[in-house]
Amino acid sequence: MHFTSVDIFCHVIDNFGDVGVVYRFAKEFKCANPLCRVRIFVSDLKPLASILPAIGPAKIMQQTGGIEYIDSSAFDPSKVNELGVAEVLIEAFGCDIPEMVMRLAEKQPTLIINLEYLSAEKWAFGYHLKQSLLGQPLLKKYFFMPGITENSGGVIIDTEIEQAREDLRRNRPKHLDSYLKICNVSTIYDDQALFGSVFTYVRGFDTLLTHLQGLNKPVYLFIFGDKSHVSMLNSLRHFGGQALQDRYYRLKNIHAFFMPFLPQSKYDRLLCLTDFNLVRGEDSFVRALLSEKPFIWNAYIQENSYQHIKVSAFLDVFKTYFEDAAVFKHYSDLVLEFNQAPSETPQQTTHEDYGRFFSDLNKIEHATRKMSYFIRLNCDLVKKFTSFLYQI
Amino acid sequence: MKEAQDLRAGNTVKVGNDLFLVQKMVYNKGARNASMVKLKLKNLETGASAESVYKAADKFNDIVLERRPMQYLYAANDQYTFMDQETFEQIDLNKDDLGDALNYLKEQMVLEVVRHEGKAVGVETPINVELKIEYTEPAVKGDTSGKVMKTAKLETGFEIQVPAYCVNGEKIRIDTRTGEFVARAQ
Repeated sequence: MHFTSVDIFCHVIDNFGDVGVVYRFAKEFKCANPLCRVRIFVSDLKPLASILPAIGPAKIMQQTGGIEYIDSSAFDPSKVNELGVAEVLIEAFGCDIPEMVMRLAEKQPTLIINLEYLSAEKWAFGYHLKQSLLGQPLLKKYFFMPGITENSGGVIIDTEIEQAREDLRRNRPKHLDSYLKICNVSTIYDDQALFGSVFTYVRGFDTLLTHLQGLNKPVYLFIFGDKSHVSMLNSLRHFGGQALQDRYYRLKNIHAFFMPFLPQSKYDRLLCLTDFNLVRGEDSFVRALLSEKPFIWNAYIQENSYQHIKVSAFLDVFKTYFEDAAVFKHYSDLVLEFNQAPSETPQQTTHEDYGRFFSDLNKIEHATRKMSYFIRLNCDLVKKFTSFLYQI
Repeated sequence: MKEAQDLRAGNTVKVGNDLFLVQKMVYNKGARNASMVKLKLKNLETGASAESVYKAADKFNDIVLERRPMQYLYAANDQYTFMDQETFEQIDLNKDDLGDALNYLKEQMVLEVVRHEGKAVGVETPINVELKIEYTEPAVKGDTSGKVMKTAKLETGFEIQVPAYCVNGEKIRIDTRTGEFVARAQ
């Protein structure tokens, strides 16, 4: 089909993941299709403003980066006629498109795409690009399933990061220092030091800190988000960590920096600069994977512990990129144990063994790099999405 | 109105102006409780079958067609013969017409045969059926929680996941909407 306009609908459930993915998708889609009008209808602009500072959370309609943002919770539905409806409507993560919009859409040829959550589970392929019969002559609807294998919808590859990657690699000390400066710390860059980022749900970090204290080198941890802040602070205090400054704690060889919320692009860059990353949810998981650095994924905690199935499905795919089965086994055991932590408990309840993770960092990095390379080559979501629109 | 996740083989739904018979239904739990359903739908006017996917909470106009309890007698050459227990009338349905019901079908079983314009078009299984476990591996000692699952082959040949404590020859109750173990049969 020929398309000149896309409207994306997003209902924010919690945290930053939903709107984060939508924003990233819109940005990359606009980049790939600069002549196409892209609008985002989002139920809550506040989380978006956190990751995209150009957004004013109180404005009902605004435009930045060539994309129009509309606060759907404050928007007067009777004005839908004035706004019109795009040729392509995207319901992000199966959110319902407002009825007024659907009524208009029924009167013109419209393609609706349900852009779903990322899943490595095998059943998801059975839904990818499958039609949803609506019985409306002018409406067509399909499911688009993001994933990390060739037969899935792929993941969003951030072109800005791809372009910055080489500079980040070459000028790593300078870039790392710029993050330390955010916490008013000027540190002499140490070649032997270990840098890590932490952005997880609430959980215990005692086992991590115990292990890091045993390393014979300085460790710099960048900690993001309230949930990680609460958790890390609890574990630092447990071991007698001292506050040196507002955002800077020290525990023996460990330097912990409690970072403010950073724009998405700045956080993405840091993931490429560190030696390891602890990430949470869907979007940060993809960024960590594409950063080519070893990472541990804290999956979104779900009813009936469904996150374990998601984590196992990811590990099944990741396994094929490891050359040493023993390295994968240790890594896999660690990630599975890490995800056993119950929700909202900053106490250590799990028994992660980080020993092999840190001794195998190079091997895990190698596997991550291989997978990342494959994904860039074969699993570019925006390319796949655009090509589907043209084919249909 | 019925949600997609509540549909099962033998149900009839109206999509647009067309009547469809649900032949198969697969439910998949997605992330953050956004579940999905894959349906095999037969257009009752054209006879064509097509696969269609939906969000689990998508709403459908369910249409109740004429249905009659009939007993399954036997299968021959992919034709499945059913008999009306009052009139002794016999009708044949093929594999596609039966869809998911095939997983639970055993001789003498009584099912609702769905008719459209006087012609049998499919069957609707009860929500719960009781079937015998033909084969399952013995349980690992100590697994009594019911959380550890294993594969079991039922007397119809259909395989499902059952708790580790289930044994060969045991009768169990299955939810035909999800194909999941419900409980041991009383």
